[in-house]
Amino acid sequence: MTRQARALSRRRLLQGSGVVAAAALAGIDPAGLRAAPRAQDAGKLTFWVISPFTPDENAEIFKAAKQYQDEKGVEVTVESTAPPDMLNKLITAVRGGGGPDVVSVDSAWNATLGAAQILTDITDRFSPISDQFFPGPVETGRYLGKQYAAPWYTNNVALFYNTKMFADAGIDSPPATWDELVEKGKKLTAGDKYGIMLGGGGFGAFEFWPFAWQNGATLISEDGTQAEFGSEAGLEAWTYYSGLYLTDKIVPDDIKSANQSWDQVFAPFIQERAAMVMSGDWAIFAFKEGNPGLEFSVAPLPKGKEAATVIGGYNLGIPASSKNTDAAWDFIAWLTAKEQENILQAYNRIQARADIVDSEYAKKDPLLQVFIEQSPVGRARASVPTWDEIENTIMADAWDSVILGQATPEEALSSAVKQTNDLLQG
Amino acid sequence: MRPTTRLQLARHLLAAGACCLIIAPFLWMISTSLKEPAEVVLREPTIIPRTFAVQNYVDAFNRGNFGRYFVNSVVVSLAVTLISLAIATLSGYAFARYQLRGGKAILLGILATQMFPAILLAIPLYILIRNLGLLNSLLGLILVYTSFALPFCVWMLRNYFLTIPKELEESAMVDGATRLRALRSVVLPVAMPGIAATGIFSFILSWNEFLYANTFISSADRRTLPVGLQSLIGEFTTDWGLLMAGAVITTMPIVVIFFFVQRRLTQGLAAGAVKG
Amino acid sequence: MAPRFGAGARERLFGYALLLPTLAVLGLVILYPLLDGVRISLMRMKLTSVAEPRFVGLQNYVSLFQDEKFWFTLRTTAVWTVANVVAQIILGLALAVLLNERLKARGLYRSIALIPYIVPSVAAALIWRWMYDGSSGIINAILFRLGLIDSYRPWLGEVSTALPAVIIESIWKGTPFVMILLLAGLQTISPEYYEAGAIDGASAWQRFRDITLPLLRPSLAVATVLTTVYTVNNFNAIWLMTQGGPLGTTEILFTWAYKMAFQRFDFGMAAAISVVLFGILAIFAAIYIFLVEREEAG
Repeated sequence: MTRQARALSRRRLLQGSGVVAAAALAGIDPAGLRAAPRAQDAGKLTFWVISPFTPDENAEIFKAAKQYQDEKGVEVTVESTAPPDMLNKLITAVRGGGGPDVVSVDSAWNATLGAAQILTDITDRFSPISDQFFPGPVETGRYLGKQYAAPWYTNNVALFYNTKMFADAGIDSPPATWDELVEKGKKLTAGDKYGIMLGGGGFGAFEFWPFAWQNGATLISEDGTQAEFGSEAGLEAWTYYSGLYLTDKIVPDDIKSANQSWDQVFAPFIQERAAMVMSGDWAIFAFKEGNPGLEFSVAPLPKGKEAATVIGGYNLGIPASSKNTDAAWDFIAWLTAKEQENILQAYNRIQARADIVDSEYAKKDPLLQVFIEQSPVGRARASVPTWDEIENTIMADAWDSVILGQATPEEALSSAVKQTNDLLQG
Repeated sequence: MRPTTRLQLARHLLAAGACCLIIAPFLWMISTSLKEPAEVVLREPTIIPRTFAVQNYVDAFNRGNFGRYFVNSVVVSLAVTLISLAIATLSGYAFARYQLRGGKAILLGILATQMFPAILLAIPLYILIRNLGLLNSLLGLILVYTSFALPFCVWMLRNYFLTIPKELEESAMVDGATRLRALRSVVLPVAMPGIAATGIFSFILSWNEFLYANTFISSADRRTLPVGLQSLIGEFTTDWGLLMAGAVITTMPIVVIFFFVQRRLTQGLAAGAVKG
Repeated sequence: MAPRFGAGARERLFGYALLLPTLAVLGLVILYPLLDGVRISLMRMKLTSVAEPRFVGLQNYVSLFQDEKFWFTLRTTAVWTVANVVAQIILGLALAVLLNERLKARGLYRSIALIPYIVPSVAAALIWRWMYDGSSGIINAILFRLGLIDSYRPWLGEVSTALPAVIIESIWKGTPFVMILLLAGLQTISPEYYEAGAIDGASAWQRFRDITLPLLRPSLAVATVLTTVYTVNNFNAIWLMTQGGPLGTTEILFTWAYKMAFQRFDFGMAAAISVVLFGILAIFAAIYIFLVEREEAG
């Protein structure tokens, strides 16, 4: 037997699962993380989407997959994963040589996935259509000058306010500046009623970024090695932001336990104990369902030195393990095209395309319109691989330690800067 | 009142009080599951639902696909129970009846595997299950749960067999039965209470397991109930009424089974788990 | 002649053969991954790094022991475990003794008391998280109505109350299993002991102290060890209620290792934390084995 044939037959043997077990026991496959790739059919695509898109079998996304198959003759299998599990499932699957051909990823994960080469570099394919999208969402798909994902839907944070509570307090318009926010917030605060609800933990960190930008601060240096949110402008914004709770006392104590889910951030607003709350468009449904009698409206975030808001949303990427890159890209280009706007509209989400501003859809719903109009000032968070840890551990803890009275705003921020620098340089 | 009557009354009060505290969260789950979203988020929660909305249950089955999860959980739990009982019966019997050299050390070794922190096994098991091609399959879960249930099962059954006189199968074997046949037709029927208690233990373990199911299963149609339950926690918001309906669906079958077999379980455990 | 057990080489071989399936399953699914876990703890294996995993010796352990967070988490793990075990044993014993009395409707009481054990831990944690809610929680509503608090409190969000709150949930969930083990133990105590005690005119407390407790010791030992292992491994409760927060005050080694593995994808570090946890549990395992051994001998 030739060497090659022997190697071949051994591999064949290894396909029997019992032998794989024995091989594993014997210490073969030392890295342990490079398993045989799963067979991928050229005429088929697997698309991993987050579970809110697949509430039932008739969900719009399944119809879209069917439509694509009818148009292009390529079968798309849609598999759904709960949002908190998506990153973990994707990374472990791709490292194992498996995984889907197209995946929906939170825009905040992009640098992590790009740096780890979990996603394929799609710069050349994406560049020609890049200007069809809002610049912020495009930015979220980029890492070190390369594009790893195409923007799918976008969202941003605006200010919800209770019109009835405003009217009762004799206030006729939502706050447009930082000073007005405090002033009007104080007018609305009395007894068990408060001016504004903010998030705790990671939610508080997430909603700090707009204030930092509005004050002229930046988050992370261009080269990705220095935290810059601790600058003078950053500290000023941080002090103002935390002051809403600490010194202006216009934020209810519910903030302390609002660190697990948006529901906790929304509850005081739904119960009409907080007259304002900062959130993205996903709050609209929760408010209507939680309190059908709630009279509320949306305004752009109050302005600092300049207008800015933070954007979120999901992008579409191609895992490095996919063998169908061309077909996968074709599907992404199709799904993010203007013609497919109805899919996202069925989920009340905003397509990340610049032309949505002038669309019928934008004019249809006055609430959604505010978010769409605010999209151009939406900014992407920093594109560094450790972003998730910076936002959801370091800054979340910094924010919690401030609102829980464990540290002064200044101490907390400088400690967060130090930890972030250690992480970025470590 | 006679002192003994008074004592009885005190005991009843104490037992009833404790039971109220114990069952309260359970009742609260049921109550929340019957509320509409607007009622769920009230500042002052209503104890008795205003509407008794069954919509959450309808949604759990339609939107949440709980029918599928339910079937998956039943398949996994039954398989684990049957396999672990079959394997553990053989081993338990061997430990109880044979003077095996090193038998005690082996038994202790088996028991010690219960002590391993699940997280230590999670990563290597993930790799192993993937190499076996069992990732995202119920078979992988069955294999893993069986190994978790086995040590306790072996020990319980061994102890139970010890309480059964040897003479039973010896006389059967004199009549010409093989050992395995004697085990099946003479010993097993007598050991039924112990086997039942052990089986319930395996079943509950499999029915409730979350960490591994969540790590190994990636597609929605293979989720077990606990994973399905967790998947109801949304991207942004959680519908607590729906979530609690899911919790009721996950919990109820096993509670109902349990109510019927509670007495047996205690008896089985009495002979197995604590006697030694 | 009746065949004798354990006699003859063939017989013995057959006995070993009966053990094979158990040993095969445990070897494959527990022993092998265990050893592999130890190996991974000696490697730098980060899934988000493009570098191939490589052997780094004890480096993961060194950085672990230098991390303040480790010592803080270790302490929290100890508090979490001791509080849980002590409370569950005491409450479980009280319930077992109470429900071992001849009472009408005893079976109903027992069934109800067992409910938390059978409620899946995911469901249990979610129920309690909802009850603790700082804006709409029933616990707040009741305490407020009773005048015990003057405003709703964020039980799971406050540094001072989060750990006690998750411990209470865990006690609720874990006590019934202790109760059933001890109840089973109580049933193995022959009534004759108590009859003798009654003749001597012993009080209820004396009977409990001098008869019940000593005879229940084996069951108590088993219950203690099983509860300890269960508590250290009780990931679901903490994960679904607080995820280790606020400010890491409810982080136990288990949840920390999980985060390391499946949020930061640092498998080497996660394995190192797990091995340390295993070391601690191994001590308990040794005690357990010692106790089982002694009972066997006695």
